[in-house]
Amino acid sequence: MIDLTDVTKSYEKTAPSPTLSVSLTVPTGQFVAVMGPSGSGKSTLLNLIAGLDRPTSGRVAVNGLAIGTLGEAALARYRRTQLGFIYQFFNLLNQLTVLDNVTLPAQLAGTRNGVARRQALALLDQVGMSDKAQEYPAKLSGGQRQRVAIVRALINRPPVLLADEPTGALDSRSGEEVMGLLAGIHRQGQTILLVTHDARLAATYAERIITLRDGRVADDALMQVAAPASTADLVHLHRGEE
Amino acid sequence: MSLKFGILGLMAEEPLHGYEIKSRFESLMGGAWEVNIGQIYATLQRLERDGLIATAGERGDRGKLAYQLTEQGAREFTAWLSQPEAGQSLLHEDFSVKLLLLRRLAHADLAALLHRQRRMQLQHLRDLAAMDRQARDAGRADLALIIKGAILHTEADIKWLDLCLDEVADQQSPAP
Repeated sequence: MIDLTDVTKSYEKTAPSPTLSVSLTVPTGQFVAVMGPSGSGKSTLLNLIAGLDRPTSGRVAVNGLAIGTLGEAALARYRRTQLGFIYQFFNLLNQLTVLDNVTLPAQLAGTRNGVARRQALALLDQVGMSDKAQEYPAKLSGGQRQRVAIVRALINRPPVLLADEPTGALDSRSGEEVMGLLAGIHRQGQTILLVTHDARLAATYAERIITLRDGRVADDALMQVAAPASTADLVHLHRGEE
Repeated sequence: MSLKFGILGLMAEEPLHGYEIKSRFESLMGGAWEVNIGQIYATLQRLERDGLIATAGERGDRGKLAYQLTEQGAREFTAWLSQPEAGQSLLHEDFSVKLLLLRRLAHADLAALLHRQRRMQLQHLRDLAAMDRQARDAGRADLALIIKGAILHTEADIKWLDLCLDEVADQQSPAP
């Protein structure tokens, strides 16, 4: 569970209002999309949960662990074991093969090399990338790189996955595939926080959409299970008839 | 309007009776537009009165009566098919009127209405995405194309609501 209680973050002491001012709870296993215009506080929110920023006031807790009070070593351990990150531009290491990119976080977390490689190959297989294990990222398409980045994010089985515009650099088909993968991971119980500008992807895949404006939660919407095809939907297409 | 021409179009293939028209029209629309049989018969009566269709042969089993296109009906249907459709007049929509009125009223919470509308459109997007999957799973590329159009319209609606919310925020923030 992610729990932010009366959290504020100000980058300038003299600023009239904080960059972010929120209280919110994300239950374990929820798929949440965070939307909002540029500068609305989406990245700040993600950085606070990731422990990359400390709150000016309030409490950020992930699975009971208060992030704001941790020392650097504990924070690094928290990020390694509790979080997976997916970025817009993949952030893969170009001098390492796909397999080495994916096993690196596991090795940093102390997993033995053989075990890490077995886990990595199994996960790469799940996303249809096992035949690219020995390739270098530069030889892959954007969609393929993002699939590798997803495997890297999941290798340590983190309880929380943070995805910052993961489809922002992809064509629509690759973006759809990446979202399909995230949906599959979510069905296995993964908590996912997705920052996106894309209303369609957010509405299609996330079960909750939080909209930030000026650093505050402007809307917090639980999506209903999609209604089956109904007259009402197509009537919308045929307004003005009959 | 589309029901009338939908019926003419289906009859361009072969003579049909009321229940056949109902089931073929609904299957054309992928089950997403149900029509009741009363609507079908009322439309058939109008089409017959206007000379666009005529009965075909005698009453069949269980008294069913089939209809076929007349030459005039075929001409009118072909002309309709080739005509572009005028765009919907979004300016006449209820929501636009609400928005204009709310802006004139003191203490009205315009942002709250915009967020409620946006939330509804997000849910609509989710429903359309599910319909899109169903249509594609059923091999109905034609229907998926129609749904894709609705998805794009809904995305545009959300962008427009975001624009309205930007303006409301600008008006509320103190001048620098």
